[in-house]
Amino acid sequence: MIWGFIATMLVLILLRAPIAVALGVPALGWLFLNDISLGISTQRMYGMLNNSVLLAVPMFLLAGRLMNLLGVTERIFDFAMALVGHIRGGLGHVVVVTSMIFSAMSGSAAADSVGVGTITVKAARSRGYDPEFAAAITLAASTLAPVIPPSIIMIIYGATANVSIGRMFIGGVVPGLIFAAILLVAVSIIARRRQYSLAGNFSWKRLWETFCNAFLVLMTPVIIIGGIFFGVFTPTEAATAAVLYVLLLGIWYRTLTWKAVYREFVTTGSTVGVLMLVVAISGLDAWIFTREQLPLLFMDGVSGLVSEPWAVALVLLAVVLILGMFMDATPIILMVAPVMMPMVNAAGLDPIHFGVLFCMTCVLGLITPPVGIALYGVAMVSKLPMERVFWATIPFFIALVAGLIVIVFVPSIVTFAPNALMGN
Amino acid sequence: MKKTILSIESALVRIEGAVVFAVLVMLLITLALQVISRFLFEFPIAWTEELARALQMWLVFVGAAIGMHRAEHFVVELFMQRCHFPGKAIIARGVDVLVVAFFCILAWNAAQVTLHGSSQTMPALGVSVAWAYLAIPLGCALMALHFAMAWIRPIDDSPDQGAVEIVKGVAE
Repeated sequence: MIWGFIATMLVLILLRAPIAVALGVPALGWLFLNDISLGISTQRMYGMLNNSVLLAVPMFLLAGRLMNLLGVTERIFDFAMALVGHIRGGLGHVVVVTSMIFSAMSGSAAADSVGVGTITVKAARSRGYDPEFAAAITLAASTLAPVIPPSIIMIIYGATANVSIGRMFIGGVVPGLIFAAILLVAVSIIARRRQYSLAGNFSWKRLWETFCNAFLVLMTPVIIIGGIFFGVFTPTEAATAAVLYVLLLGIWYRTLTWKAVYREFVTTGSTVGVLMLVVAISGLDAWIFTREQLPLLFMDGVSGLVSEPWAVALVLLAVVLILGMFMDATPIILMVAPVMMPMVNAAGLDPIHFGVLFCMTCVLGLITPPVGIALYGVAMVSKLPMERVFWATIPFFIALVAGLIVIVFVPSIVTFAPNALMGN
Repeated sequence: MKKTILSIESALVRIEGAVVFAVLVMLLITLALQVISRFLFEFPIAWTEELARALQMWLVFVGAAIGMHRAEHFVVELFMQRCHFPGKAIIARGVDVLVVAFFCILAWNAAQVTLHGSSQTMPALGVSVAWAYLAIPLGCALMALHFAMAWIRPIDDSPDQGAVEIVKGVAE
């Protein structure tokens, strides 16, 4: 019966049913066949959303949206340009640094890839870089968004797997910096091999000017990460503080109009609704999976294959990577995390360590050649043929996978910071 | 006839937008109060957390209805875009009907639960839980409506916007 359940779900997803419906239809069918009141569906949806941890999602998305309104992307782009633009392959470095700062602020890969992507591909064309190089590095850098806090994906993971979100955020900082470093090295190597020309000189004056321009904006991640780091804020409160700070910035820069603010609020509401409807309905699926003892079945299957913690981690992450090629991170977390968590605990893996790897892998799946769906999106926005973006992404993809495997074998990269700061 | 229905729908969408805006503003104020009361006055207000969670219900379900009108819900396009098989159009229409039926069933059940199911009250606010539950049947009914209306709505052709939406949807 549970296999019929899963098969129905997959067929509906393939037939282009909205994910929320593909999750919900087999669940309603299961309730009906088992003679359980359909009213359970309402109660499970309510129970899933009646959770104050999830309130961080609308607040971070709102902060990100309002930042777009302030022309923040240009300010940060200019600052990154002054900082690393003079190095060979400068634009690539600029994209990585911009994505790193920006993802830390907007908290969603969405704002990141659209905001940074449209600017970088344009800038690459005007500077004589290959546009597919810019597209590929934008894609690769967008994988930083889920690791560097605040991360919407980590909030969803924390709420689903019942793991501290503050710890997840702090655990993501060091791996995020490592991944950024890996991408910077990859850019340098590629730029050297292709003999990209050097553009402009480094100037302290320009760096200072662009820094002043971006300073108030750069304070946002400081407030968010610092506040959570030192235990001043819960993630939800930090997100609220970020929204209020950005609104103040908008008044200070005089760029906010009522009309634009209204539009961004409504758009945020729509984005939150779409995202959280899937979360709500997955609450019902998780309840059914538990009743059908799916986690146990899955556990038996995997533990028949491997037993070492690192091997278990690699097998689970491979499953996530394959799913990630076809689906968004949120539905994957919601469907898979409840099934995997008992295994993770039984294998003796640290839940924070595994969680950070999980979130990273979800997004890596989106850019995995040849099927990763983010590849299609960026190819469309940059008006490049799919194949060119695909070949250009491969070196970055290999570099990121290598980094991921290192983190699998060295858990303390993730766990050291939260354990040191927040105790065991 | 078609025109009247469409103008009623767009009026509905405007109301939904105003509701989402109001809910989000209230949510912001409630959460800000929670932080301020804890830091400045050193006593947490009891009802802020409960109100915030109830507002979240409304934000999600009315927001999801707007998302349905904008066709923003996550779908996996790959298979239906690349593969061709006999009866594809009929199957696609069948899935559409299933989607509408699904949200109708959810709405009906949620309405029953809201009306009869819950005699509980929220402890700090002292009002019935039904006020929070109410968002579910309303939102699901609106989603069914907006999805069904896509059949008669004129198709809006703006490919670039569409591409941006795809990237946004994927990245989230």
